[in-house]
Amino acid sequence: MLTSQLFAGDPLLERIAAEGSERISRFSNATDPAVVKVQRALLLWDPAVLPVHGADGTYGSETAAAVIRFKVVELQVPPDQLFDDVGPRTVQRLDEIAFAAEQPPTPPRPDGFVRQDVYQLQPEGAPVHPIIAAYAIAVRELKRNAGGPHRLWSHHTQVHGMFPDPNDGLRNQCQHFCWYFLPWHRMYLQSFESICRSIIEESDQVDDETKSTWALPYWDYDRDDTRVLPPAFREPTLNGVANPLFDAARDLGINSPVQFPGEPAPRLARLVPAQTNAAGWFFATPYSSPFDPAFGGTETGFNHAGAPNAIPGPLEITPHGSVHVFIGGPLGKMSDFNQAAGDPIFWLHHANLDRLWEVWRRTTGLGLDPTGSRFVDRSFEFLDAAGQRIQPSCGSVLNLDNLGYGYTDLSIPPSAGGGGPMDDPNRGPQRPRDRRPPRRIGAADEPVRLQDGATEVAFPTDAPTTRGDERFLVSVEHIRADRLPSAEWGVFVQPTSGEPELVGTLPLFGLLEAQRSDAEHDLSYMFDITGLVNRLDAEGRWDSDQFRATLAPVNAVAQDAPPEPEVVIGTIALLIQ
Amino acid sequence: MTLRSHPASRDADWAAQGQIEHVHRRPDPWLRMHPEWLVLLLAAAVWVWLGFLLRGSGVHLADHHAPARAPVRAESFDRLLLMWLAMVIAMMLPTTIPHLRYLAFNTRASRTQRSLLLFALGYVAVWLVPGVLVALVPVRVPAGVLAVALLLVGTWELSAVKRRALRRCCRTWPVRYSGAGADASAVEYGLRHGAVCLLVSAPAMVALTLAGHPWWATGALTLVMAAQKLLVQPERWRAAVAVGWLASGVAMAGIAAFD
Repeated sequence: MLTSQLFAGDPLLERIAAEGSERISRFSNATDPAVVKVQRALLLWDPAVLPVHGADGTYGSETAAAVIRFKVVELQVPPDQLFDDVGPRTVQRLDEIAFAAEQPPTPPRPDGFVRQDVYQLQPEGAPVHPIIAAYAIAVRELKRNAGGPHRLWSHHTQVHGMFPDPNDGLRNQCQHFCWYFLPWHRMYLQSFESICRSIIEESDQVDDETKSTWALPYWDYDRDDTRVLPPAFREPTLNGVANPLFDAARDLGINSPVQFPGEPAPRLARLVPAQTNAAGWFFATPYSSPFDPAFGGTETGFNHAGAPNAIPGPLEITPHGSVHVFIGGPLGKMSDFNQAAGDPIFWLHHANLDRLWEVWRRTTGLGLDPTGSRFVDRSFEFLDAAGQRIQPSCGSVLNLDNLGYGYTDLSIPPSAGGGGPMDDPNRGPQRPRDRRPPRRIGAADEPVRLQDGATEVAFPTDAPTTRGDERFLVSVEHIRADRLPSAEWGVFVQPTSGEPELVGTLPLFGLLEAQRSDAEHDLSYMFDITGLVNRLDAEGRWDSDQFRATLAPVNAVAQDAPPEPEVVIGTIALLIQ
Repeated sequence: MTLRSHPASRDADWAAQGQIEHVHRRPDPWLRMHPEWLVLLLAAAVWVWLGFLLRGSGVHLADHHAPARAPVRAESFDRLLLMWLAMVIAMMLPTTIPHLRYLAFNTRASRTQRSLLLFALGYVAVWLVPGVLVALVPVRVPAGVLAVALLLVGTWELSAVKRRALRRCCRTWPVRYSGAGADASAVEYGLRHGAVCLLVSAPAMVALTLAGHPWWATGALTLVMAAQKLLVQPERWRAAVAVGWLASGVAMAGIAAFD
């Protein structure tokens, strides 16, 4: 009986562990779903054991060599008894290793910095915590815009986006809709945090303990008591002077209560679960893909021949894009690439995304870090605390253990649906990276126009005559609008009976940038609905000949919000891969 | 949904639960994975034809007394226009591979090649506009004029219009899945992408034509344009490409001065 979350319940591994005659080898079960689990367990044993292909789901020569090494080093198998297959002892020992690794993560090293939840530091109604007060001091100093480039608030804002492009290698560098999104923002945070820390260390208003432990807080908005902007960021004044964490250019209801239609009293705007839900990103694999919605986004290849469209990963859509437009609204800084980092909450938002990436890396994404040189060796330039140019590479920032900071909470978000990473009842089988582009099997024959209320979309589909391990994807492509709407639109698949099922939202962060004359891509999204299709099919509620969806706002819009613009979606399509 | 039973499926546990019966797909044939093959075959055929045509053609830089000898251009309007279209098909169509593939995988499988050919039709149609103008140019171009053309192309390379067009080269457009809408969207896609390509490559193509399509320049320009359109971050090489054009222009001006 296997005990690790990784191995337990896998039929092949259970049979092998029970001394059955089956094996995993290059010639037998080489692409079984159990292979990727074995590879992940091997990576837990030694993170460097699969240096080229990582956990790619295929039992090739690299995995075979890794198993040989495991047997020699870990199981002490004599050379004359070595076979490069996975048998009972290998499975049992790897299961023990995986089980040990699945226990709650050890707290960050005492010599490292720990990023803490801003709501734990300062719950609603509590006084400002010294960590947050120190952040305010650093932001105030930066907003003076009086030092070298690294000490300018404007510089840090422009690193994310700037028009026209200064072409200096430092500014207008933000990486979106691609697999560099997460590592680039991790580097960006580290650079900013180190500069803030150096300011805090120089300040005579900060106590020594705070100076020695200060790290950027994060905002975990995926809980019922944390869905409004943290209190320290809403107050126009702090200790009797202008609060540097306050920004007036936020959407209605973010800084102060406003009236929402049909409600008895004004209130603060709240994120809704659809805007923060972890179910979309938590189970997404692999890290990247040339075509379809993988966790970290679309791969940037050597050329454009494979995939001309850039699709953001699910974490980049929700909560990343959702929280940006929630704070910024149609006109605010957080909705604009060129101004987003000028709102002090930006950094806490991205610290949370950085944390969620680490949650994924330690669970669903275990062993799935990209290994190719196009990712690992790609570097970006930033300024450090001394104002010197540094050039970290994506590979150098993958492992938090090497970066000197950690998070207070790396547990699986409850909104992921509970259970372990291998325990999602709504997902299709795990599959290795797919080099086949998804193919449409149906699409709306006209653009879809959204303005007020729900919009229904229906089109016939060419159902596959047989069903294998296809992925089902919904693409929402070529989105255009004159300006950002206040509503965030949700995409709901309509079963043949019962309630519509939400498959994702359209935050539209980056819409205006995607419409610029020098933009490479329109804004497009793609959602993996494989698990939903399998479930609905099993329940007899999936119509394979007709796709029906409803697009409707998921959030409430303030009563005084400007009229909504028309949002035009070029194509909505159903694809299989 | 009609589902075939396959008891050996690795997802047999689902089948056992009466949920879904799976059938594993066979690997996709190469041609299905590369639906752009027909258009590329067409381009290759035109290359072969051009190969015969371009032998010994073009500017002979070493020959100071005949700097603009261009035998290919000593033809009728029809012939010159045909030559232009052949150059577009051979040199430019292969650079549209990302768009051909996007179109192919986003229209009904049974009409893939039809959509791709309609795209190609729209794309080539856009190139007719400069083609007609070029075919009207006097047959023999003085070296001085060619030098000016080369310098203008070099300047164009550094312009903001070219930079923006280069980035827009990646852009896809909405395509319809089936029916007349799919036909229309394929043609429209070709027209739109062709218009962007004109901004990127037409000045260079015109200069090449004025030079009489020397084979070595034709090959080199094909590589440069393919790299600009297909490789990521093509802006990186803009300056180098511009320097190449400007240097050619200066060299040609020198030849004209000594002529």
